[in-house]
Amino acid sequence: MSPRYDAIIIGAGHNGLVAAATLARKGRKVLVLEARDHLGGMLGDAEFRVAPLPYALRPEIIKALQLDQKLLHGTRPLETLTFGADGQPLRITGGHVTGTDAITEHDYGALYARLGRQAKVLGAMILETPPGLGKASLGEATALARMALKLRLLGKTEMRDLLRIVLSNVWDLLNDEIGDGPLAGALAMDATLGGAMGPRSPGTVLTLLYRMASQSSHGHGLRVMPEGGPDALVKALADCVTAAGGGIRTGAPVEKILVDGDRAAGVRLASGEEIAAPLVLSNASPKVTLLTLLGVAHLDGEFVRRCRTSASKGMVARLDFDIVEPPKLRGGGALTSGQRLVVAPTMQAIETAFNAAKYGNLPNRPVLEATYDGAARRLSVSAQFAPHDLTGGWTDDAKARLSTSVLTVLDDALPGIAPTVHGTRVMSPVDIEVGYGAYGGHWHHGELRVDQLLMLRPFDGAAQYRMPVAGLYLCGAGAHPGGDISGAAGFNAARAALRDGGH
Amino acid sequence: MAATANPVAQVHLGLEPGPFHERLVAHNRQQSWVNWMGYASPSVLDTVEFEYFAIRNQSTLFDISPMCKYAITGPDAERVVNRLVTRDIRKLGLGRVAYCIWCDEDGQVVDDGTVFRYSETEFRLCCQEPQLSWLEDIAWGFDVQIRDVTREVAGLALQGPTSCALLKDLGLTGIETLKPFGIAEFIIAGATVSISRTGFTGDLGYELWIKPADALTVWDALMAAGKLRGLRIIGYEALEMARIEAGFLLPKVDFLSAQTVLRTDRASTPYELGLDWLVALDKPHFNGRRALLDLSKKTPRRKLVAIEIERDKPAHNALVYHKKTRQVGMVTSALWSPTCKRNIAYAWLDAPYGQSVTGDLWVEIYLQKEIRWQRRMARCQLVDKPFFVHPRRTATPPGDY
Amino acid sequence: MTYDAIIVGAGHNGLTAACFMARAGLKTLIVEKENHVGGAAVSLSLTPGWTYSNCSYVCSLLRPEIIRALELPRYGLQVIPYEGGAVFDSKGDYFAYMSDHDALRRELVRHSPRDADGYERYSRAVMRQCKFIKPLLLRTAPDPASLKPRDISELLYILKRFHGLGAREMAETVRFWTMSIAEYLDQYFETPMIKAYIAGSGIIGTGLGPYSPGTAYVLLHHYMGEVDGAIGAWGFARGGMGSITQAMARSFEASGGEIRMGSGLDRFIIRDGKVRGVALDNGDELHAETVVSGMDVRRTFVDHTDEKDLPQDFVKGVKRYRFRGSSGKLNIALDGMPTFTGAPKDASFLRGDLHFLDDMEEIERAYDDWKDGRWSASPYVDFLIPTQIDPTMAPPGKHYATIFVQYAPYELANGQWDDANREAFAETVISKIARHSPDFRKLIVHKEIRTPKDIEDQVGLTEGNIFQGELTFDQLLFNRPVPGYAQYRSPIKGLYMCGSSTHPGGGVMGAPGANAAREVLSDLGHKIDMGFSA
Repeated sequence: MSPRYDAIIIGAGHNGLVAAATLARKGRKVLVLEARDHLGGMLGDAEFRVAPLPYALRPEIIKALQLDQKLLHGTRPLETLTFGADGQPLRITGGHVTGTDAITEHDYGALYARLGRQAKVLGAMILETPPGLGKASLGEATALARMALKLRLLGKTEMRDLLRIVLSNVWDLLNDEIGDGPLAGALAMDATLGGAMGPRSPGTVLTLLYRMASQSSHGHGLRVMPEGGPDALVKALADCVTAAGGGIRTGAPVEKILVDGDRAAGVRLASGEEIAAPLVLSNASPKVTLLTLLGVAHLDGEFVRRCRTSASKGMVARLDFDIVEPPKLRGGGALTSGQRLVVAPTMQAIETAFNAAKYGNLPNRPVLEATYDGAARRLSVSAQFAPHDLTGGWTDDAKARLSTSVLTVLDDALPGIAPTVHGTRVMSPVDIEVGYGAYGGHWHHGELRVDQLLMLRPFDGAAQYRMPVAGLYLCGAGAHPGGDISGAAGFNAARAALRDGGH
Repeated sequence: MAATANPVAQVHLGLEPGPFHERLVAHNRQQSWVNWMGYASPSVLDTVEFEYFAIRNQSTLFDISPMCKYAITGPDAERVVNRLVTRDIRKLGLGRVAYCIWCDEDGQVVDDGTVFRYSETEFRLCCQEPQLSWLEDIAWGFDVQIRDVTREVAGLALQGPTSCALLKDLGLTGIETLKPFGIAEFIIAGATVSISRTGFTGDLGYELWIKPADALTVWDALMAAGKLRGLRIIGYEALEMARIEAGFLLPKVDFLSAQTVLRTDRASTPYELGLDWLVALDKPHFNGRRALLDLSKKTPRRKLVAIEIERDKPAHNALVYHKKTRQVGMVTSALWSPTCKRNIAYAWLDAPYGQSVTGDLWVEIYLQKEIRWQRRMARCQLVDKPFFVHPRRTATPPGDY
Repeated sequence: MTYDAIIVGAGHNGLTAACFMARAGLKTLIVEKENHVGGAAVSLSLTPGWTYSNCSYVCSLLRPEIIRALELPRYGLQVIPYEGGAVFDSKGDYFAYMSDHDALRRELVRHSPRDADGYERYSRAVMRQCKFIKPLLLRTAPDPASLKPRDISELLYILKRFHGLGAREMAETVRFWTMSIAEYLDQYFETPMIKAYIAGSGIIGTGLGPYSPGTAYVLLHHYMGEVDGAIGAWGFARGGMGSITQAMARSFEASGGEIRMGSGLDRFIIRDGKVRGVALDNGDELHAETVVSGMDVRRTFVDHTDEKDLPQDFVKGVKRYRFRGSSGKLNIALDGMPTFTGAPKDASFLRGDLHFLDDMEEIERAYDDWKDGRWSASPYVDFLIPTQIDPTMAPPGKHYATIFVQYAPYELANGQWDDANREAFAETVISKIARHSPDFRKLIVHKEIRTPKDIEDQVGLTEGNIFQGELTFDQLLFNRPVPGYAQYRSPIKGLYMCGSSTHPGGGVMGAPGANAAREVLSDLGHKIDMGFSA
């Protein structure tokens, strides 16, 4: 056995690193074990990024970990670019949009601000352990009460409005407020990307609010690029861990979580090496953590059933296209590194793309989010909906078909793109599953849906980070509050572990 | 649409005939049946008293084919069964049977039943309620096969003091060496029969497990041999009397499975049922262990107890009072025991009654005397189970009686 | 003429409200545009010898408290449970639902022993939810934004009940109220036909597919009824659904109420923010300080109220309120009992609800058609032949078939609901049935086709939505019909709503009518005894 640690963190995704840093800064001797040879999980490295466009790390976490303030203030929000049916580009940054009429600009701005206020109410729970069902502790009940108070402080009109729309769909909301079109398409893209829901699916307002609740110094709901790119964010977190005396090992895949007397006792690596620690936090998805790494023998049958049946069907494929020059935009100019191109001209287009995926097929016209990395000369595209359980499987042929249809759709925004591509990589949800410990290849390790949120995230009986085997915690996107790059799950999990005694 | 000339027949409506139905019909002079898992099970064949006394005096046959039966086989079979039940099944020898309970994740009892161990990798579970999806949940992730064999195995309970002698008469040499909870294979009338020394009567007795095709042959052989041994076919009502005397609990009567309750607080824990002895908290993780660990440290919120009631009127459906005024519980099963000559019952008592407070308990009995109802408060006291014990149940070899 | 109260529309909710108000001693008038009462609960004879339940066709949700309080059996109402149901697949097999528990278990085992166990777990889960929701039906939903003691105590009542469920059930409740019926059923069942059979209840009348979150609640809405305490059971009203409203009308008249038929509402008479009565389309003006509208919220406030009498946010809310009709109906007179290639002769399950489906995906694809403005190429049908049980609706030996069709859009993407399209729609349905019942087509004596447009035009349900508005969470409880106005009162003093646009929503339940009557009576200072406690 190697030297003893206070805590082992499985997986060096950003949540794992935040959890490790939080524990290390409280004097715990931690070791982060990463299967791949780079840190950052889905943030990836220069080679490949599952999530090339992060949302902002929670400011509270940046502060608590005393990270370089540049990560907070040096970030710049990405401009979203989308095209209307008339071929005119719309440029969106937060609540500001250009390229449309004044009324739409105004309505959009008002809606964005309103959603921001409502998202902030729900955001009150992001950095809290979700209350236990039927047995909330005082602190947990206080958090709920605080949210209820914030709800009331919205005022009667907006409070009622929030209670009306919260379980509804973006289709109805956006049709009521701004009408279907490129703006609605871009917002509906935010609401649906990464999940298995179309704009007409009830629950998509909640996912939109979830994204609206992300906070950065530039406002809410923004994708922000840290200065130095995603790698800078990963490096800052890793440095924070090591500066506090923590260890990080890459190329060290964990094979098993060791249990002794119904307590976590450490881990065994694929190499056979065993590392002891009384505390194990897993940044892998709940299904991978519980069903594979821990093993069902330590769990009750009903718990296993709930784990198995929780929804985590990935619907996003990632495609990288190598191109020589910055891609030329329709109507002139080129896509630059500071921009995010959305190709979802209407909510209807997103819904239509979702239709095919419901039945396990690839849509003829997927909807896309694309960025261009000038340094790597690479166009990165997230395409939905690409079902994990694709009929016929994710063969090379299926990937080729997807890549062709993606290029066809891209042509609307980037005319003549296809002939300039000289290299293509397609990462299916299955590839993401295999590569990143994310069951189903799901971005958020589990669908962000009312029945899988808060005290039900990832599923009933497994919320609140603690697992039934004492000393084992979930610290990834599968746990409350969920995915995207906020660091909240890792932060909350570490604090829950510390509150439980911290060993 | 492929139009079919022969549509799929509609499933049987009403009670279904079991493997012994032909014979049971012939003997059921009362034509009185009860529904047991959709099967026609005799309630009384002619006279319940004589059927009861045959259990304690001669020997009796009762069709137990409707019991749910599951084959659990494969390399991980022992781990799965051990994960299912609260007893330590690793200690169960080959060719042995164990009475077990199993619990849900909250430590509430799902069902009780018997686990038969045929080999290192072959088990069978017999129980009252369908458990297939429960078993599959428990077995998920293990190398094991679960098969519902309810319709592949017919069962007969041969119970009573002369049952061993009867089987010896049939040439089953060695049956007398079969110990309680043992299993062995024998040939009856050319048919292979697996026999376990188990039963629901608290008396000497056996359960015979037969292929349905052989069911009637074995029945006829037993009936022929039984002529000299006073063999009598019995119905559910006589068995129910013996079962109460013997101290066995009946699901749906004495307790409800956690799987079937609508109100979640109506389920019971092993500690409430007085089945602490079946819970091996020191074995590796099994379903409900963590909850049971907590429950084992707490006082049960209520308890199922055995009581004896003054005078002779059975206390069916009665409420239990403390000091004749405060309602503290209720009776689930009640019987005037013809053998023990005691007025006995099981009752649920809310804590602390039946635990720290045991005195001054009364049962409220309603008596109908010529269409007039009368209310009677009868004093009761807590007693130990079982009410009926006889050395012949466990003696090996059993006497010839 | 002056009345204490006028009710607009003699649908089952208008009648229910009117009955309670008349019983409380109010001089009550109902005005009805048709020459018959009933709204969407009617029995009409369109061809000699046959009676159709033209719109709603089966009964379960009508609250027993209301049946008893209004003495409906005394006025002729009889509800008879029906025996089961079946779904036929395209391969010649079927799944039959039977009310006999053992037979149902055998049928489930025939398809999958796992599903037989799953059914036990499933029915308990649904039963628990029904138990939770039932007491909420005859209560007024609290306004969470209000600080009035009544709203707070009502909110606490619900929270307490919710909390009283225990941790596991609370989780289950959240899941039930928000999940898709498809995912919900996937937890319990593996057989596609069994899932499809049950999933039907999750989409009937709603503009959602079985894969849409929120449809598990719709299933609950169809399950929370009962026939004589058998929760979830459905039955036929003897003589068709009109016998419910006929009985209500008789009960109302016996309490001294008056019904004026044949002239509809022109407008509400509103002065100084108060309602003063109604003006009818024949020019009559009738006066009352209390007016209760049984019409849906859009008819009431957009079509018959001057917008300037209403606050702007209310108007916005009403206009936003979603109807989205999604259902059609065929009523067919049959010359004899049709046979089904998939069913054995005399199968008991034919006396129940019949469907023709392979799996839930088929329903979802039917929904996709509707989303795109087409009627479903392979629709979900709920097909019943009540005359096997009810001898009053067709001549002896002849039969009546009620065929509910999901999905049909209110507006067609390509074209209008003209006669050609109506016939084509009917043909889609009939040919689907004929694939399973070869003699069905030639037995047709007469048919009535009702598209969502017909339902709107003839019954007055906006966009043909059978629930007077979608049953999605944004339109349930305190959100129904408009947040802040979910307690039956409108912004206009004296003007109330009692239709299915209000809590707890559609179905022939009567609860909105009873709840509205309670609010009216309480505002008028009456001591309220409705014959039951909510």
